[in-house]
Amino acid sequence: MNDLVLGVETSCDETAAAVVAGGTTVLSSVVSSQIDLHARFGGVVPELAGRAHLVTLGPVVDDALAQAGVVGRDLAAVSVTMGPGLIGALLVGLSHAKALALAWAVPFVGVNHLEGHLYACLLERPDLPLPAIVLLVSGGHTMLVHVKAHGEYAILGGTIDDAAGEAYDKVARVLGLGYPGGPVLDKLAQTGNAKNAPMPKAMRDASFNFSFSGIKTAVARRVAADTSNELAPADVAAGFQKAVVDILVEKAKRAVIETGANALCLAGGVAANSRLRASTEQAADELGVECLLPAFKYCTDNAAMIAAAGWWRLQSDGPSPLDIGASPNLRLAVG
Amino acid sequence: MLGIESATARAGVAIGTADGVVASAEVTRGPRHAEILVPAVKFVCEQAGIALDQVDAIAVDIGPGLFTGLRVGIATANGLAQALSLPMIGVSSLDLLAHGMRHAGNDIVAVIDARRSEVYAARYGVTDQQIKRVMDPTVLLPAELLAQLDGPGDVVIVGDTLADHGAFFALPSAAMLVELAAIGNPVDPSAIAPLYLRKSDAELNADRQPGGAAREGD
Ligand SMILES: [Zn+2]
Repeated sequence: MNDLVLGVETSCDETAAAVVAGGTTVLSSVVSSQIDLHARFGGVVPELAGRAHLVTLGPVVDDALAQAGVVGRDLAAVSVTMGPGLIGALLVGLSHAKALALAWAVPFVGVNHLEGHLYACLLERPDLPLPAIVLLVSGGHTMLVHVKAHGEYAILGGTIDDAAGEAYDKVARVLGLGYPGGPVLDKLAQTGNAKNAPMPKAMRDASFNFSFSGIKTAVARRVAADTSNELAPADVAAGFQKAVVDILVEKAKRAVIETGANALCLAGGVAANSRLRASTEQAADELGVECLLPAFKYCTDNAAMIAAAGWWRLQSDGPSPLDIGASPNLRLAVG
Repeated sequence: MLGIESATARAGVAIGTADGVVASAEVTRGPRHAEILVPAVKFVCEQAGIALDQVDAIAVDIGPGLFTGLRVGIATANGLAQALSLPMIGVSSLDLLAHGMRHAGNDIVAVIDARRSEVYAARYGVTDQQIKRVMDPTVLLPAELLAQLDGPGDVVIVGDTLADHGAFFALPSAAMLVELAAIGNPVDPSAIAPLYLRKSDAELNADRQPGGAAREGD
């Protein structure tokens, strides 16, 4: 049976296309990042993202097909991110993907970007024992998801203010580390001592919600108050990182215990963070459950995860109608 | 020739040849462009009895006009051209408006609302029933445009704005696009780009603040 899906992803600042077989075997995954384009603005500029996606998407799709050695008419489906994300960015991928599906006469599938991130876990471990707890952390999202079965999720909690990745970028800016600051901050933190700059852990309550704006403000205040430059930036970075990671893992751990899940997984761009990976692995060890840390290339936005999610959506719901629109605030459907 | 139009509030698709349009579908102020265009492609092909793989080139309106609308139209056209290995023809929205007025017997000024109190405009002469640009598409204040028109010689103004100044109301249409594209030269899809005529807000703000880039998302 033909099980090849072309995935297309343009929800934020990565233009991506990938071909995945059977929702698990990645034949190609091409990602063109716009980081340099947005760097001088200190954040993603939606209009520039839309302009860049339009220029880049065609060649990226060509690359993905060529690397996979696949022609469009042989595909089982074209799947594309329909939300959440930047509306102007989403619309480029959605329109292009619909046209491809119509012209090749293959099914079209609209996919939720967040579901894509969840499927990044199953890409590498199709046999992952469900139910699982997925800690989805990125520049736009922070949530704890209980994946009960394919397509069946419960959102246990999420951030009430900033996403974790957003807090990383803002603190990196306070420390003058440039944009995007997450990876640089992570590296700097590895050379620092968190004990020299302890930060408050936010929202240590019984809920599965998170709040990062308090930690972010605490860092900014400490740096501003340090007029004699006694604080080492590496220590501040380490203190911040410890505060964020500790609370994320603490709640993820409790989620595993309360739901009786069989696995603990990370997803999203912040899943590339070294301390988060180490702490999550340790937590899973202590709990005696499976741990899945996706490869770096599947943590950040990519189209392989969209192709994988598209394949499973096609199995469960069939194709999407060609008149669907983009949904910038699309939420994860809870089964 | 299959034409995709989405530079203004009107989204449309038409299919035809140099001899004329066989089928078209247009929606103004209806569902969003991204929702209507691809179903409309399917619809006009069915109505015209033409299979998509019989199409020789994809025509698309490259603006100026709504940024997002243009991108939806061009992305749709790009997808079709890529899947079918077809060349593309890009036509300016202002050319389409002017082409529709070529029998008026005067020079033509085509205008499209650029929002923020500005207009996109271009000026055309007409010889042998063919429009010829004498001023390239630009973005300017209506007062600046009208000042340029104060000189000798009559012009007709056509477009979706400046009705107060006697403009004939018109929106670019997919049918006109197919007609005009049929006499154009198809090019490689990589050569097709929108005529934005204006930078993004973030770039404009950064340009205005010497020494510092704009900060978004604070
Ligand atoms: Zn993402």
